[in-house]
Amino acid sequence: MYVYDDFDEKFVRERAAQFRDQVERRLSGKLSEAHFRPLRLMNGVYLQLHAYMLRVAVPYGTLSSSQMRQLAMIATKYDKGYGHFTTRQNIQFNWPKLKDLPDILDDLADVGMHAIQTSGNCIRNVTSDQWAGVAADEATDPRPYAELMRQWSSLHPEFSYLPRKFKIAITGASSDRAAIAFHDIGLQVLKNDAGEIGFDVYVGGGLGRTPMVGKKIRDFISLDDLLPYLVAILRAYNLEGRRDNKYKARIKILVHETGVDEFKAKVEKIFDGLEKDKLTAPAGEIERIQGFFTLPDYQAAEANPETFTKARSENAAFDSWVKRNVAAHKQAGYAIANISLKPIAGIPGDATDEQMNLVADLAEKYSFGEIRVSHEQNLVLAHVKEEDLFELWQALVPAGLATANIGAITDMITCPGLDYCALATARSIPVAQKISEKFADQKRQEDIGDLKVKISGCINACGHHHAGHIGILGLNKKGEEYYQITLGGSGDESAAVGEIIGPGFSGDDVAGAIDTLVNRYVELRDEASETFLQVVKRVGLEPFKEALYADH
Amino acid sequence: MPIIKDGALIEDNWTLLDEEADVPSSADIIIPLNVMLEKAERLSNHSGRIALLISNDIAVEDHADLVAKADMVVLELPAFTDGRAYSQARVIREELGFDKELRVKGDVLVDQAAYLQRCGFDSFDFDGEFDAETWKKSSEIMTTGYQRTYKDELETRS
Repeated sequence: MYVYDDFDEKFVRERAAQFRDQVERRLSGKLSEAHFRPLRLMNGVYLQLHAYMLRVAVPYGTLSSSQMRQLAMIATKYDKGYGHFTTRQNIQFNWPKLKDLPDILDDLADVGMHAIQTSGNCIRNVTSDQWAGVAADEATDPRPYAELMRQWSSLHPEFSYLPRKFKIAITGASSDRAAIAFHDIGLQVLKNDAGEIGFDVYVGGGLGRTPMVGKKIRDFISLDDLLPYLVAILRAYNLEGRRDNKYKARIKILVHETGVDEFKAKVEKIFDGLEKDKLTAPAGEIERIQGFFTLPDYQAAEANPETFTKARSENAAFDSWVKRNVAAHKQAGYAIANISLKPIAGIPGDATDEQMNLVADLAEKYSFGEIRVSHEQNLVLAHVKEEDLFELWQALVPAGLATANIGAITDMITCPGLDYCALATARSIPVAQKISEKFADQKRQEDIGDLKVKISGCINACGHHHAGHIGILGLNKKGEEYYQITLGGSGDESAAVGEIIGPGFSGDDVAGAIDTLVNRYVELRDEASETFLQVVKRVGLEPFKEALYADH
Repeated sequence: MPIIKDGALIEDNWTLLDEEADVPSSADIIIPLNVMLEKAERLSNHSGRIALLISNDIAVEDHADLVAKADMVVLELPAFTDGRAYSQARVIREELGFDKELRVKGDVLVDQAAYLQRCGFDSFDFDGEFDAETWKKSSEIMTTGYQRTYKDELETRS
């Protein structure tokens, strides 16, 4: 993984010093809250319902064991002993004090981390496939280009006061685990027959109150032209994006109102006029970054070793975990082990300091000291030998980290909702907990198969409900929380926005409604391998509507 | 009103020309783009310097000839959160090749100093109070940057 050089370190230290100065001016009253607000937001500091919240950047979801230990230390020292992993592959701390924030940033800088642009109307943490570099279905490792964009976008002088936030995601695999179609810019890395790297560019995707699937505006932009092309898109947006209404300020609205062809023409015109040499990375820089993302030193390992197959046959719980949580690896004899942060009836995405320390240790022991955070709020050990999987699982079980539910119905994306968030209209976490309890039975979960449930506590859609096979949106009518259900959304390469099925449900009734929908699906499927999403696409919403509302 | 130029507070001697006002022909004047477009003939005998004020909804490249002739260009920051002038500045500097004074006027925050300088601004006309010490600190605290920009004095990775 990428390691800071002296230049990166100096940059991050200076940025921490700059924020310390801003906090001091705020605390002494020299800086008003109105003027401090955009400055703190650009450093990931929100003012939530009960306290300040600090969101720390985990660039494209990659952490070292020492970085994870430092996050655990911060959770212990400055928070209530836990952190929350987010859908931008970041981690947020819910209870720090404003006066401690500069010290936390120094602690982060000690391990090559920061909170730059994890919030605010600027370019946010670039996200990627949590299996980047190791997935069996990957053509090209996207991480070097994600790192290139991290550096390019950090404290960008031109693009720090955009009309609204700006999110970029990149994948190099045929299965899109980074939801690139729901980003302001989505990039698909490709390699042509000559072995050259290029990028298909999608623009104008997003969730929020106006969900839209991104449109492709460029095929195979070359590596040299990638940053200039991003400058052209961002400049077109910065100059012409709407600033009169924050709900219409994202680039998706500009693309939609301008029309994709005309928007593309504007971008191309700006692009043609750019001095590209000055905007691209200096010579040798891309090669320097690529050098950090070579494959680790894998040992020759037997695929499906006997110890592994024997443990599976003798231990049903381990076998369930392997089926759901372990994925195919590029390297024979190795596997991708996914660690669920969705224990039954737990808080999705939360991890305690002890859990973080344990995962750091296990990563060091079994996975070259590297950890990934997925946008679905789970953790990944990306390079585990198959023969080590049983030992790893045994270490995870007592820590509550061995829930066998990756991609299953209880592996829900859930926003913090009204329990923390100042914008929320309804609670999300308690609804997720009730659904989780309802489907706790492992056999039933396995029978249901792949089913993505996503919950947002307001129309801003931080819980990605539009992209859920089942989406749940918490709203508030006359002081009562209620929940609208959508079906048929998808965040992968078949990206689609879910459709509202009908009138909403109270918080107490949501889990029952999901139960009804799932039972209907089981009746409707042609065979066990036909997924919930495939059935919705085949039969439409009607049979599900009937199941939910016929008796009412 | 004093302005900041090259990091120092100096007395400003430019006068903003509104549509009807009479100014001596020797004065240094700032003329809004729309006035310049409509009443350019009034300026034929003007002996003072002429600056062009461009609002932030204008595509500056459409007025390249006027920019080229101006002694100074002034861009506006109606609210410190409105970042359009940053892009206008880069187009004026890097594409139109304008190398005289580029000023930003409006709701400028000291914490934006470095970003504005990197986009090519070299003078600053504040709406509010100006604290020279904070300005100096704020504009000097970052000595590194990842992007190469107009006359950038920051250390970049070469």
